[in-house]
Amino acid sequence: MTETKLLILIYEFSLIFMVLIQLILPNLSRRGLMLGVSIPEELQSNPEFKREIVSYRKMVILLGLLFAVILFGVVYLFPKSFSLHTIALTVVILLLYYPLYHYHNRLRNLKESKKIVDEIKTVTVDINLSKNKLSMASAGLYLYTIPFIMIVLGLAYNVIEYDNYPDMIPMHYDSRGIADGFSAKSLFNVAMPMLFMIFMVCTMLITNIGILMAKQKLDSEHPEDSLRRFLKSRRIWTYYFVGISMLLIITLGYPMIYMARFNITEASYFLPFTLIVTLSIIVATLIISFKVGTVGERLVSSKSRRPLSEESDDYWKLGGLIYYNPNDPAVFVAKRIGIGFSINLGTMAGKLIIIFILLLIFVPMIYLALNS
Amino acid sequence: MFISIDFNSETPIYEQIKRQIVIGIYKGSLNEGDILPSVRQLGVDIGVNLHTVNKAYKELQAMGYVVMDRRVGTMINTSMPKLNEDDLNSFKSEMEYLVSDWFNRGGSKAKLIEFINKLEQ
Repeated sequence: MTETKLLILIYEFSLIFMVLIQLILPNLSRRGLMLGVSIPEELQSNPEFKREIVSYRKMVILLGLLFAVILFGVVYLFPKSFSLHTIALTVVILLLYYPLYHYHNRLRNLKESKKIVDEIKTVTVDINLSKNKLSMASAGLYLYTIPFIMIVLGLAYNVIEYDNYPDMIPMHYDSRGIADGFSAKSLFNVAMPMLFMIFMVCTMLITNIGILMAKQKLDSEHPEDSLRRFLKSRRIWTYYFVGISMLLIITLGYPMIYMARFNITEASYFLPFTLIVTLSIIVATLIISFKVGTVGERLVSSKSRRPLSEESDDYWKLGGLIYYNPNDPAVFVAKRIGIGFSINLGTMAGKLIIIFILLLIFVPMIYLALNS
Repeated sequence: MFISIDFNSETPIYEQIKRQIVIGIYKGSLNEGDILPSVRQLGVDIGVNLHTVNKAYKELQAMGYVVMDRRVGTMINTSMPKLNEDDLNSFKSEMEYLVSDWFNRGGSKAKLIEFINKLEQ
């Protein structure tokens, strides 16, 4: 398959995937939320509100089709302009959030027009959990020792086998699995795969810790049950991150060591293999998201789910996607839209984290773009 | 032990925290020597300013219920505070208000006593 056809395939499949995610978002909401707006159960079945969800989905599909055509055009006309592709993809991803932004605001206005008496705003917190969020036993963070031991073993191998490495080590492969980038042997180059894995596992660990430190979200009516589910979901997501770490080491880190050490310059199976691994991770993420939810809300049947305590709508900006509340000391809070956690941009720590992440993404990108 | 904060209540949040800790101690959910979450930990989970939690803890310390130590944190006192003259007076005036309001609105003495008995168990 030519490079161009492969690119088009990857981009269009990614687009389809993103469109599907936007389409099922309403189904992934916690009880008491519609597209990130806190709306009482009784109103959610109101036809005026349901209509907004239908219109939202229509807009997502229309934009999806439009972007599919645009992406195809961009890759077809400029097959080698990878920076253009990146820009186009980034713009598409961002614009796909427009329906959410638009209909979130419509639902908020609709809710306000119904003049709802202020909903019950009770927050229930477990004192014990408040003290012990990162405690080794309850969270499972000690499991990270496994991937780190695996990395240490890999590094040991690098050192022990150093003399047996080829003088020119294959460092980069093209889409056909043919080595097209070599570097002279050095301790750094030889250790590169495991150093990269250290970075990956640290990213997983830090994200995991952020999630565990997030503000509690319990059902004030049934606190014991929701606490049990909350604790269970934290453990499951920890296993998930540890599992991904181990998977990446085994399917990416170790093969990279192997291919460098044994001077493998043709590995046609590596690309399809990497795609399968990527797809597996995506599938596993979706399965856990659907079965567990963000705070364990999906661990019970749809009928048994109850609204949980929510912050005021006013603090959820930009279509309910961004939480901005300087009066709330919590840095990580459960997302209103989709599954996962969001950063409180009202806190200093939150602002710094976002800046750091953006720098991490854009500095290398800009550097590479300027140097090519 | 669970703490439930009603953001719509007229009772200030620090007062709600304080009261629920006192009730928790009585009901046995919190024991002497137990360490409470730090001001930051509790503030994060409730979603309120650290000063609010700090105020609750400070008042509990003034009442003699907790000891705030820089290293250990905030700990439930190993011996419960005793009633003194001032406490008795403020209890009396608080009770006078609550009981008057109760009787004004037609509450019965029997129900009041039943409530106290239940609490005692």
